[in-house]
Amino acid sequence: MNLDGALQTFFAEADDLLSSMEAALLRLDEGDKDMETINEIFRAAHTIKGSAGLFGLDDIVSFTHIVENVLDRARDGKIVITSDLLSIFLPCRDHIAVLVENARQEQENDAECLAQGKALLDSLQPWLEAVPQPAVASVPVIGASPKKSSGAEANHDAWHISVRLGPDLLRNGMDPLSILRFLRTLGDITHITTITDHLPEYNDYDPEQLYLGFEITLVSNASQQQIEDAFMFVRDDSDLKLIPPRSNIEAYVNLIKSLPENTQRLGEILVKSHAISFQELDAALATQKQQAKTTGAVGMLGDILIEEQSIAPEIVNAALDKQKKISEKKTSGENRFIRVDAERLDVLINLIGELVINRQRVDLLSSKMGNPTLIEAVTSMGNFTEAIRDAALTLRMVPIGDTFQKFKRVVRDTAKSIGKEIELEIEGAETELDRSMVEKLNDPLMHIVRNAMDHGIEAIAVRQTRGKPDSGTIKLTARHDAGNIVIGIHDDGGGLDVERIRKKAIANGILEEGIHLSRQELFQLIFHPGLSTAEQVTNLSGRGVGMDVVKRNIEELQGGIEIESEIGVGTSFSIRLPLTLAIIDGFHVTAGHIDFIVPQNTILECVDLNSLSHVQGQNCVNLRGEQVPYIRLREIFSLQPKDHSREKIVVVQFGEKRAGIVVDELHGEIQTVVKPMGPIFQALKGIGGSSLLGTGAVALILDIQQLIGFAINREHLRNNAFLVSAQEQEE
Amino acid sequence: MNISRKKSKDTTTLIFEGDLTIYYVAHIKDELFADYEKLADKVALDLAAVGEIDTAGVQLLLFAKKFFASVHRPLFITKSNESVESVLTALDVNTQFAMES
Amino acid sequence: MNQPSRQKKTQSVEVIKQYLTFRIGNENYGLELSQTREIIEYSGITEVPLMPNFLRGVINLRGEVVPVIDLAVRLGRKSIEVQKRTCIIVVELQNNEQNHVLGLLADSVSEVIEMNDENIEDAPSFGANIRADFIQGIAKREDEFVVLLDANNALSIRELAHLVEAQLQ
Repeated sequence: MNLDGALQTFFAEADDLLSSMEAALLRLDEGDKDMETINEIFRAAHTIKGSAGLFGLDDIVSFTHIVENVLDRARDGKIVITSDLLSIFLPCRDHIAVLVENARQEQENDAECLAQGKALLDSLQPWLEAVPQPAVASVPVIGASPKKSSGAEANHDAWHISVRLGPDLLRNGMDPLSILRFLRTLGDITHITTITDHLPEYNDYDPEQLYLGFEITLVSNASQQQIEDAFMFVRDDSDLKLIPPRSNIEAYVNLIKSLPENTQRLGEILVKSHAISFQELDAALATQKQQAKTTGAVGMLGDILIEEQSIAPEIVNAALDKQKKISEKKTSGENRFIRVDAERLDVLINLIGELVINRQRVDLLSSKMGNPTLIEAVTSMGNFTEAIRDAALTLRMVPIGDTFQKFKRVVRDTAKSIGKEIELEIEGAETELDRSMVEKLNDPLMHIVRNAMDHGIEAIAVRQTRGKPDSGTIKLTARHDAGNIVIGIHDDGGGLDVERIRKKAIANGILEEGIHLSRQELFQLIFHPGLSTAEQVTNLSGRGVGMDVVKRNIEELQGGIEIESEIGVGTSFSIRLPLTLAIIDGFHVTAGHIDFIVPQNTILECVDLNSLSHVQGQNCVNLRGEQVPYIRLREIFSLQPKDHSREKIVVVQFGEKRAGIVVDELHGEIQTVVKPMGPIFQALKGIGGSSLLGTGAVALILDIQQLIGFAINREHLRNNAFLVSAQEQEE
Repeated sequence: MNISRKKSKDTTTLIFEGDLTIYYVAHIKDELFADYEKLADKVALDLAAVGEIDTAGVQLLLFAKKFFASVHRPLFITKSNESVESVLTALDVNTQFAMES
Repeated sequence: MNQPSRQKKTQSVEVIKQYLTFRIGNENYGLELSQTREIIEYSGITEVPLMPNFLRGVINLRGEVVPVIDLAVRLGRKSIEVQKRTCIIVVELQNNEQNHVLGLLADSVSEVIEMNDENIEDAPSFGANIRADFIQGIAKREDEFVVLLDANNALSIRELAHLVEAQLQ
């Protein structure tokens, strides 16, 4: 059976909560005194505990329970969160994360893990109350029989919970018993009635379907939210009604009215559970009967009760108003988001991709037919298609801030362990990019940041001699720039020594002596696999990943990375990535007999090649006084020449540089869905993917960055012309 | 899960062995109600050898109670164990399976 | 691996498999029908630059971009010349738990045959002029031999990718 929709949601939510918990803890560490921060941590712990309880993840519940107790005391101002306490809380958070991960992997928590938890809890002991509250070990296990109070008086001090659960609950792997168990952590279930009225006849009875409902009396100080949380994962298809303590009888009568079962029977249940007294129920029912007699019509029970108790309408209105406010607050707050399976989004985006292709086909056909009305209709449909595409892509966009946030912890912990003082600043956290890219960006960022801490930022003593503040700064930035996202990693450390890089490269046989490289090209050498120096292999920048892998990762995302650095001042890496890899705007060209797509965001202009003057003896043209090196696609891809072609040059920008791509024909802008080429073509550089044209033919998408890299490599083998000109252009 | 039947005078005892959970309820339903005409006037459940029981299991017992009532056969539990008892108590349905005196 | 022929002599139960047979040059080949998805007309191949001879290009198969392999080159024969009956056999292979779809160029497709394992001979260790691991077995049909290919070896994605890489260096 597939347990897992709800459980997966729990894991995803736990991940989110753990990272917001971590962020909040780090804010406290930075001196944040805001009560709301402590509240946030508390809520995170509380929700994790609660949800874990629902799934019977007892280790998580029992551990988090204690952490929550300490947090609760801090929230009440009974204890102050000191840095000592913080340095226990952070590992506690990590431990919860481990427990969650083990649960996700369906792994038992081994003795070591449990011992670790125990040690952490022991270290929390000084902050707990002298008489610790019973922890989960003693959270009442299901089975403790409900307390029966003997008084005939109504127990107005209890919550009444009325729930009819969704039919598929059991099949989805949830067990109402876990919900009850969770409710017991909130208070005392003094009464419960299992409603069996909906059990069907033999032939209709599906044993895996749930037919039961529950009427529960819960004596608890919990808030409505807390109780509703117990039903968090079953809310969608369940019918849940809560009556707070000390509610009017009206509430109960309304409840009775709203439930599908027999009125008399429900009344009895409520009486039995001491929610209302016999007298109250009798009076209400009697009035109803009487009214039926005198008027000949059956009055609504609720109306009668309201009438009889003559509740002032203001009170009712006030109650309604309050309810409305609560629900408004909810919609403006956490419930604004819905969780969607990423796979479903991918399906949608793929479908929209197909729509985009089909739209192009319709475009083509309609312009062939030349019917102006049709063309108009198709154009307007095209505009909507574009809008849908853009809207769909934004669904997958997430702010990069969450990724940046993780580095706060890394920087904090690492700085401590290497005896440096380093602060992490974040700028542009709200900048968004495609979710799938965020995941692949993690490792390269981690590596660069670790490198910056390890080799970039100097030891305190060195910083002092250089007149820098003791504390070094690493800054992560993000911004959008013409369809790209640019991510920066800046440090105010020692900087890169271009001359040393050059010497090392020559010594390692990567660079020939006498070859002149621009500053940028020399910096780029640090990404060469043969240049990882001994210094780089410390325990920090470790995990066996070198800077070459960083560059490769970025290139896999169709991006580029540049370095700027000044000795003694600092180093900046800037990573430029497309916002999404799924659908791009491109420019359709042909070279030889092959269709190519040039990504639109790289294109500056298109010019007739013959209209430009060439630089003698080199693949280089003079564009308004600027020398622009070019690549002839026909040459670099060894394509058959086309007869009578008037070659065109597409001028592209990549990073700081410009280059020309010489093609045979220009066809125009096109929206295109990127289709991967598959593993066979992995070694092919310069082609980033493929895409379908309106005609159904396959076009190859150029990867400009790679293409130029490829060209430079080939030029190296020949006469270095490309390089030289590229660098003249730069200087 | 295995159900064996033992007949004595006016009572058939159904002896459950194994887990009474969502994973098995479909199977148990088939077995439990098969040839119910052959059962004696009273049906007793021996749940002492039940391992795990969940809401689906309890629901099946409640359904059995209802079903056997409709064919005029009282159903009650004669033996159970701690885990069954605690779950039935938690849902406050234990009294429904008490032997009628 | 996939070599039922090796065990045929000890097997008492008859195993009947279906094979799609096709011609390359004047030779007959067969692929397990379960590995083939469809046969399409030869049209609209987009050449991919710098690829070795066996990789003829890519086609658009209802929105999916699929590489097309010239099986003749892969088997050490002369490259297939496109003619009227040239077609593309679309095969689906499992590799590292991933499905890979490939198109195979063939001079013509013949028929689907059913073969009892009894009637399949082991691949000869020499004389076939084809790498032994590409052959699952040899079936005798009337007067002709049909070379039953081991698609997982003959079309190993890893090997094809390595060949592409070697070509580019």
